[in-house]
Amino acid sequence: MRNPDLRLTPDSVNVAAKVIDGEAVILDVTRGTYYSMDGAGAVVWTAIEQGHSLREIVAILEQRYEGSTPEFERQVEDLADRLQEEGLVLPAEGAGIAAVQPMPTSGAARQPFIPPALNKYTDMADLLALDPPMPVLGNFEPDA
Amino acid sequence: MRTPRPLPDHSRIALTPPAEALLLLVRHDAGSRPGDRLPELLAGEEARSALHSLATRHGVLGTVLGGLHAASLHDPVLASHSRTLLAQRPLIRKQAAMWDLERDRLLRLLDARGLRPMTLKGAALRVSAYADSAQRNFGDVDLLLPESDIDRAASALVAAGYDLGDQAAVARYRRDHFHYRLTNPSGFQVELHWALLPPGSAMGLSPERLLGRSLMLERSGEPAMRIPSAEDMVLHLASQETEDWFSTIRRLVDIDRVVRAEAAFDWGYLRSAATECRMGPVLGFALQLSRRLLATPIPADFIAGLGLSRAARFHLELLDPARAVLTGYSRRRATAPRYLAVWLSPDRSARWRTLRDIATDRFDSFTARAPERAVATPLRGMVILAKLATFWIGLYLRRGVAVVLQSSLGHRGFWNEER
Repeated sequence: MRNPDLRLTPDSVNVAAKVIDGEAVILDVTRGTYYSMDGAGAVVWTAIEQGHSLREIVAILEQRYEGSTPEFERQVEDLADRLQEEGLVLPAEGAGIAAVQPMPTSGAARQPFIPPALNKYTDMADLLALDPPMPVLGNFEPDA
Repeated sequence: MRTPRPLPDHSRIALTPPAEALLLLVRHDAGSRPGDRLPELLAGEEARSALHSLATRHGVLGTVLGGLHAASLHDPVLASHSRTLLAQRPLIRKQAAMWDLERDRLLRLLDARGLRPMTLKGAALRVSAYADSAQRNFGDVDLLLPESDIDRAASALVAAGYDLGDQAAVARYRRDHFHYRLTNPSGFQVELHWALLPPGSAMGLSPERLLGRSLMLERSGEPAMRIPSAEDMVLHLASQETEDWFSTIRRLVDIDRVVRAEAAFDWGYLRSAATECRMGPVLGFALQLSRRLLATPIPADFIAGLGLSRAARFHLELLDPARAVLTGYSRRRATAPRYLAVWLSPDRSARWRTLRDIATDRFDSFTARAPERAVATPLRGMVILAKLATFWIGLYLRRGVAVVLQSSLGHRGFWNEER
């Protein structure tokens, strides 16, 4: 990894996020977009919120998922780049980092690793509409 | 002592299957009552679709899906029937999470400017009265501030990407309304309230009352939220019923949840506040509906002490109120809100004023007066009153037929208390 000690922090001015039902939901209200990541992506996002470095995030994934360290490093770095490109996270300044919160180990057997995907949606207004149609399974596709 | 008539519970109101399913699923104990008829009521796709439409219309889809999820955990047959409905639950939960995120972002933003608004209605209820945020969906964030802070708050929201509208709209809001409405291109909406009711309302629920008894809800990892006391929440919810005149059950469900969530609910305060705010009849009607439809626990004789006259109770009962709420009667019949406004007036003189406003076409569904409207012509006034009179007489005739036929229509005994 180019900078394994890099720590990122969510852009708290324009971005709000929550992990719900194992899915990270991230809002960029100023641009009217929202993003979601589940599985390993939600784990990475939580680790970023808690102030872990990229190296520490890789270690967390190694505890939870089956796979090789180079694969985890590549995926974490790619995701970090993408999150920065989308303006969702910023490099954390050393003086401003709160004490890193250790992520609890899952305790369960390691799961197969599915690379994290940052899904982007630009139809936030549609999602917020209060009169959703009767559900049809699988009719919700990300834009990217 | 006279033996009270047996109280017909809601199962003796003639309910359609979707309405029966709706009531079972919005109850606080949905999913923990063995033997209810849910699997039978939701056996067909048409029935499930009807329930979905009904829940959406009543604004309780999140509550219904939460109840259905809980019920399905114990009933494999119901779980199988409910699969398509429950497939929407993740979407509803995601919606809820997004609204919560934006609400909290706004609270932080305003707090940074020294402003601590009171969060009202859905944005507060989902945290204080519902077990799960997604069970109480809402379409805007309602915030109450002292009037002296409103413009500063509006400026802060505009700087954060919200749109207040042009100067003419802002001036009109300040003159004729009681909140600003701000929208965000992302779809979020905020209402900044400086009052709780429109100018000219017959009710006297003041923001100072709510702000003076407000509570600070501390939340781990989230900004503290200033909310009304449980009793003031119930008062406010009851006052809001005059917005659409009891055409949905959503606020009744809210009232039920608020009452149940507060272990030390101060009924004495609620009674005195209702009297001071001239809200006794409206509150009494709302609470009785909540009791009848949702078995909300209300102390004996509480509603009787709210000042609803015998004539008012009789005339309200004629409307078959429990079924009227479920069918959205007030939404479909323009005369029904006028009728309700007459019989929910706090006293006789207010009732005459309401009739006068109706006759002069100044009655608005949410305010005693609509000052922008021109006075109705005598002919228009006569037509409006004639429609109201026809509606009124029709209710008398329906009751007369029921008496002659000795029919056990569910609306008789509406005001009986449970034993």
